[in-house]
Amino acid sequence: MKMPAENSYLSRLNQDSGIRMKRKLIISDRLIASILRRRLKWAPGAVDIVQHVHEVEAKVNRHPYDFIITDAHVQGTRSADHLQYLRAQCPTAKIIVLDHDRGSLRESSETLSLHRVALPMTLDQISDLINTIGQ
Amino acid sequence: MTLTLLKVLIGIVCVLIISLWALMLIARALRYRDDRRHVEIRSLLGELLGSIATADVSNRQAQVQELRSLTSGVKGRRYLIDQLRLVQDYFSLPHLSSELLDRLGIDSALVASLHQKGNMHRARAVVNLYETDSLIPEDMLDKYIAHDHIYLRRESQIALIKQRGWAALPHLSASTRRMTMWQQIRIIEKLTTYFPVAQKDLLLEAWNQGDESLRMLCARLADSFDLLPEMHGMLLEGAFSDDKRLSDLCVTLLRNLDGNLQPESMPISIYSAHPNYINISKRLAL
Amino acid sequence: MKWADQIIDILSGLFLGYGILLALIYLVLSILATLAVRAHQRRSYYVSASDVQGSAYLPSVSLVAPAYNEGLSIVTNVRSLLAQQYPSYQLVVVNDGSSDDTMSQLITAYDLVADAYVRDDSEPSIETAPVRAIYRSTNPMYTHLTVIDKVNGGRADAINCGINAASTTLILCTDADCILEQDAVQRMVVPYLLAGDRELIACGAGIGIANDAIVEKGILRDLRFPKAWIARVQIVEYMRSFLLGRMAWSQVDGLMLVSGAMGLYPRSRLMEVGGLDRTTVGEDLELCIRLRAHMERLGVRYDVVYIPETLCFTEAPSTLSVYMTQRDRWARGLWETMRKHRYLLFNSRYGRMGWLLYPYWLIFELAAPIVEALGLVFLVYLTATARINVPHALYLMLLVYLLGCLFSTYAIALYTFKYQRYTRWSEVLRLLAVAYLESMYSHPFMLYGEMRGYVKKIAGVKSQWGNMSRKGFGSGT
Repeated sequence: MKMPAENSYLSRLNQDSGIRMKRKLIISDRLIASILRRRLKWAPGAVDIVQHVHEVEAKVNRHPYDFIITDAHVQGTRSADHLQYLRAQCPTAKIIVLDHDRGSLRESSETLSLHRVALPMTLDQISDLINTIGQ
Repeated sequence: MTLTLLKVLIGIVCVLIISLWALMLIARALRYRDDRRHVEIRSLLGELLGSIATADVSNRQAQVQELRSLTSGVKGRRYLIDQLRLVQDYFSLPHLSSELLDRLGIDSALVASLHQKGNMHRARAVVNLYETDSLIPEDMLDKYIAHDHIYLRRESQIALIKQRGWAALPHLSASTRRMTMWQQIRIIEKLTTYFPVAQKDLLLEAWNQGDESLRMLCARLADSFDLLPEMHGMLLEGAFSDDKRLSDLCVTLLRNLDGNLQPESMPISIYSAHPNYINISKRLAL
Repeated sequence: MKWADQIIDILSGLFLGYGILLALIYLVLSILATLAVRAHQRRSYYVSASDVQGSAYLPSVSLVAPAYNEGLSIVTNVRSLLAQQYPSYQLVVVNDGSSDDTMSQLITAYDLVADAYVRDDSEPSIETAPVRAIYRSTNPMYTHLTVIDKVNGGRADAINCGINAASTTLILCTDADCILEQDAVQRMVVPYLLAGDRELIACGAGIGIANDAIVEKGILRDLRFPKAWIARVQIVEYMRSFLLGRMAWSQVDGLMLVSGAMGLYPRSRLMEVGGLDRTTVGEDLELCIRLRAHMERLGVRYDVVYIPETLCFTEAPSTLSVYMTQRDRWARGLWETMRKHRYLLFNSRYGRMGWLLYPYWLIFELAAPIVEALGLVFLVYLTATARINVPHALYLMLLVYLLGCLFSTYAIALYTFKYQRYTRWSEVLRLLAVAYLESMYSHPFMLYGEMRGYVKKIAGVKSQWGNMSRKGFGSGT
């Protein structure tokens, strides 16, 4: 799979300069992800946005993400499997789960050391929360 | 003669098959055009909602104008509303979305749809208005809650609850049609979200209207708002109802009370003359 | 020889009349199906299953999945059935006396331990073959899984056993070799939630073909176009049958068949009618007719509903011999059911069932292969005795062929417009090619299979399922 230009650039930058840039991933509907990215003032090049499980696997296998925001349920997989997979692939990443409280994800969030955010909440609340967790 | 007829019929069928191919092509092209438009709408909406704070829409006139032109048609409008509903699933932004809808002229278009001839259009307008937290003229809702058209009636009843809260509950009996479980679930959801303080007197008033499906809703509301222990007399009456669905629900809810209710506090003997007395007492394990 | 000519004229007229009537019925069904699909889409606008997803008042559902010698794919398939997004459901897998390693695979994969089986005699239950043991999982991830190991008694018997064990409001009958969409239960429940004055007694959904599909962790990851032609033919057959046939009948409240692979029923009604009939191989059709007749007798208004979306995927026969075995079984099931419910014919007590639906099934479903086979014999006789008008016959055959193509094209167009599967141009073109070649490739074998089934019934051969060998689904790389 061909990597987006900004990701290739980031990868080269990471390798060449020895400086590791923070890499972020948002797994959600593209509109939701784009609102979040803008609200969090993250540069487009520093964030990957995916919404289907195929894309998640392709991305997570290639890049060591530091910060992941994900929907509790992702198209094409089960919530529990998805979260377990993310934790296994990115053991040190901070993972935030956007949960509509429709599944019983409280337990698995705790077991896998994930930050669960119960939705809906205001954009300001959610961006504050994510910034706090990210620090 | 017969041969000619056969040839004509073959010709017609061939034309129909070719027309279907053409329709498939046209549908494909239209879908491609719609998809492109949707991408533009989503991008603009993402930009607007992501970069601005509440009530800052006025600073984004150019984008609002562009979005307005993209959503001027019914399809575009519908898509935008769907996207806003999706966003509202994640983020609470009632003021922002209603202001945006106002500036995009969608509110006024939806209110205008309430006066259209087709009941389906009206019903859609009702859903879109209450889902985007816009107000619907109350006289219209009063008119539509007993309407013959199933969707218009159903959505107007949900909208009425969303706008007036518990006070609207007794008015739902205006319709002689049975309320579906789906509708009951939606009404419970609206009350728990927007009117979380239960009003027992209005609940009892609604129960006393005597409509079976409204009684089912009341029983479920009593359960949702933890009122069952104080309202078991009402449920007992429901358990002895002739309506099987209401009776089954009330029996289940009473059984769920378990330790919270002692047999001696249940005035079941007043129903001893009921033909199902033994059966229901057995099911209630009293 | 004048009388012989007269008989030939009468027979020709009868065959022609039957054909014209059938073509007109298909035309009407296509129009009704279009209306039904439109109505369904309109309804979907107001009723999104996700709107009620978090509710505590959703009815509880048991998925009952019988398994017989499914060792090849049982672990994957049970995983698929466990992957449902629904707050209140249990999965009851019934091992119907498999002679392979189905049971041991389940025990190992899902950490099953035998539970004390206590039959509650105070609760009514359906008679079934003896239960050996009931297993539950010790793994907290599979608390909603129950596996019943029982003595072999056939599919219907296994489902009845699952119905007995279930304690939910609704029962979703499926098969252990089916892959369900993750939101299948959620969507199947919607018609039940929408039932107002009329009680929902059965709800079916579209079935898709998943031969050569990639299934990972029980979830359908890639619905590939099957390699075997006969499996491709069945994609078109299913589209035509589910989208045109069943949607149309559901539009006029005339649905008499809900597929065994995906049928939702209220448990209380299943118990009232004594579950599925163990004596027929067409138990899904038989159950639906019996439930309808039961409701007619009770005088309760009811609905049988069909959802056009494909929510369940199954492996279709991938060789002609298995395909014929399947059609043979379907034909026997139809024969048995029509025979069992012959009291419905023109019986005014059963309303439209007696006057419209049963006669339709008798004349245009049961009799269709017989009429076709007789028609072929008649054609051969006319040709042999040089009594045939060759140009007329050729044009007539072309017309019949084109009519078949027209209905298939319509079904493919409707399906690919509305339901977002097989939407790539290459797939649409392949589907069209299959549809246009179907009558020359698979149809003769289908007719042979059906006639073989009827002959078995006439000869009094005991009904059995027949060998339905499967390959299992592919797994992702």
